[in-house]
Amino acid sequence: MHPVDWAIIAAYLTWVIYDGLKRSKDTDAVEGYFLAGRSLPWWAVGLSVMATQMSAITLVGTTGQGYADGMRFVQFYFGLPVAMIILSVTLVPFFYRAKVFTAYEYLERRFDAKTRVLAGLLFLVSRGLAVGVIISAPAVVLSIVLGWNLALTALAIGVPTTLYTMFGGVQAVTWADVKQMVVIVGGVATAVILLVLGLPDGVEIGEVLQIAGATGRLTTIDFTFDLSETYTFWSGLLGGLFLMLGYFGCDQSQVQRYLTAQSVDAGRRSLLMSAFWKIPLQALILLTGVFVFIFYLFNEPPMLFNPAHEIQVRSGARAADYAALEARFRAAFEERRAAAEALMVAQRDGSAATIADRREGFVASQEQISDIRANAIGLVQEVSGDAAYSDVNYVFPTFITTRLPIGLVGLLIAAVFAAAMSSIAAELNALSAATVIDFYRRHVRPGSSDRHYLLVSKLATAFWGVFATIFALYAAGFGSLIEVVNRVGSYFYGSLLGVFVLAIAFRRATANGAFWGLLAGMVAVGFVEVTSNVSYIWYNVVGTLSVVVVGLAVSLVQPARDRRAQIS
Amino acid sequence: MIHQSDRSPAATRLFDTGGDESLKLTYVAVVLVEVVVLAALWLFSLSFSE
Repeated sequence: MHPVDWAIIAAYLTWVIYDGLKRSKDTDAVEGYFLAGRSLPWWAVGLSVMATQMSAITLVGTTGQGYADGMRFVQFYFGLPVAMIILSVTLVPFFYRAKVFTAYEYLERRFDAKTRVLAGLLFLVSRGLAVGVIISAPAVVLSIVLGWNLALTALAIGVPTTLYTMFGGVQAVTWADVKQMVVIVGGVATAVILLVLGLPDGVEIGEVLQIAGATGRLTTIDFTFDLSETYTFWSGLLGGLFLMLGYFGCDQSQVQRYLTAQSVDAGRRSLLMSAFWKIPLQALILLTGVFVFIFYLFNEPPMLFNPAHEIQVRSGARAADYAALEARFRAAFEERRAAAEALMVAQRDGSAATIADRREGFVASQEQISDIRANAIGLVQEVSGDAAYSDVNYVFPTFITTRLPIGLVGLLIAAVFAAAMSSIAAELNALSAATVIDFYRRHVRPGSSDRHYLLVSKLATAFWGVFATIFALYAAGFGSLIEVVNRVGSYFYGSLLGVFVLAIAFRRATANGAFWGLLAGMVAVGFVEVTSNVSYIWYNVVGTLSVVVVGLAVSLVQPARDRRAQIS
Repeated sequence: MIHQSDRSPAATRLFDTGGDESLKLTYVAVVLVEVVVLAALWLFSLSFSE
């Protein structure tokens, strides 16, 4: 990388860390540390809500999905706008007026301590692991760009993030998120503009989109109703609705965002910002991946996008096989480029029959490339022993570092860094809040001074930062990172959502009902996972409904006297 | 320490729209914008896919 790019990255990181540490001056009490004294404007909270959800995985993983699989992933978010409206009229005012620090704190007021403990533990386990995955994504990027080993890159991201979150609290987290959104949106928009401007002379955007469309990459909506498919209209609208309700309504990393808002209305408005912008923004990021695919139609791509694995295969016993595949890949690339150009010529002047014929030829050449890549991936899996190997997450970083001009490389790598650090910071802050408020202050040392809890909160942030950084080393070996994060969440979100539905919607629900319902919900999700091929996006529906049904059943069979005592 | 009887949670309402008079139109706008965005994505898909 050019020194100018290094300077841009260094300047951005210094700015974020310095600004975060500077915020520690305003954080001299627990309420200020975790909730910013409920003083933040709705637009800053709204950007923070979006930034927390949009980590580096969004840039690295989603663009990779756009390149390899197309835009159908956008359907995953179809339930989000409606979820935001539902939350705005239910849980947002509810949590805000209850004056709680954490979502789980409310469960003890409504039910009992054991339900709060169980919900809090589920959050700590699921998000503690997820934040490790969120660190590993940019660690992978850095390991490519700098040639560092994974441990070093994970530390380079985890340590500074932990430091400014530890000292700056939620103020640092929120304002870092605001900067992150500006850099991310600016970076993605710049990449799209460059990709469009970089099309070969005489080639129009509509023509190349037709070519990408021929491979199915521009299919955005699939009305098939298939429970085993994650990315369909119905999966996104219904399964995604429950996932988003669970994530934004019951996950402390999001609940804590809108609890920092100046008022109930400000909290609502912060969520509605995502309702308006999430789907278009996600479509833009996926489209960026599609444009990278188009770019590589005219410019030879690497056969595999992970240089580390490539080197491993080249130096192993299957080096000759890999070299043969590379020769075939180069020939196939030239064939595909010729087929793409022939199709564009036909689109301008040819008959419908000619267009159909050349389209068929292009699709066949694309399939040939895909087959060769699949063989190469098979070789890597064999040599490395990593059966889950995929290079999807390496596509965009490789494009950035090898194809963008000086200055923009630094900007986009800084965007990946910023995305990672801000999301990690929000998660660490929330993990610390749940640890201290739901466990330490409640069970370990109640009645201590605010100063003591503030110190413990900072130490808890440090603990989770270290834990997540170490876990990141293992998470890097997983498949598509974005799916891993969503999958981990799906095991718990539905069940947690079910408990909150019980708490708010059913006056007859008792503490025992909520507790056993929560356990039953997770057992039900586990059962569905083991015994069926239902997509994980539906686990949230299964979890929620199971908790409500079992929770109500347990509540109703309790003796009336016990029930009255638990409801009160 | 917080006890169960600190507040009266059982007396809460499922839908709390208090103080959000100005947001009702925003909720409608969210739904309308989603319909328009999904329709645009669908048309985009139809235009460029076989």
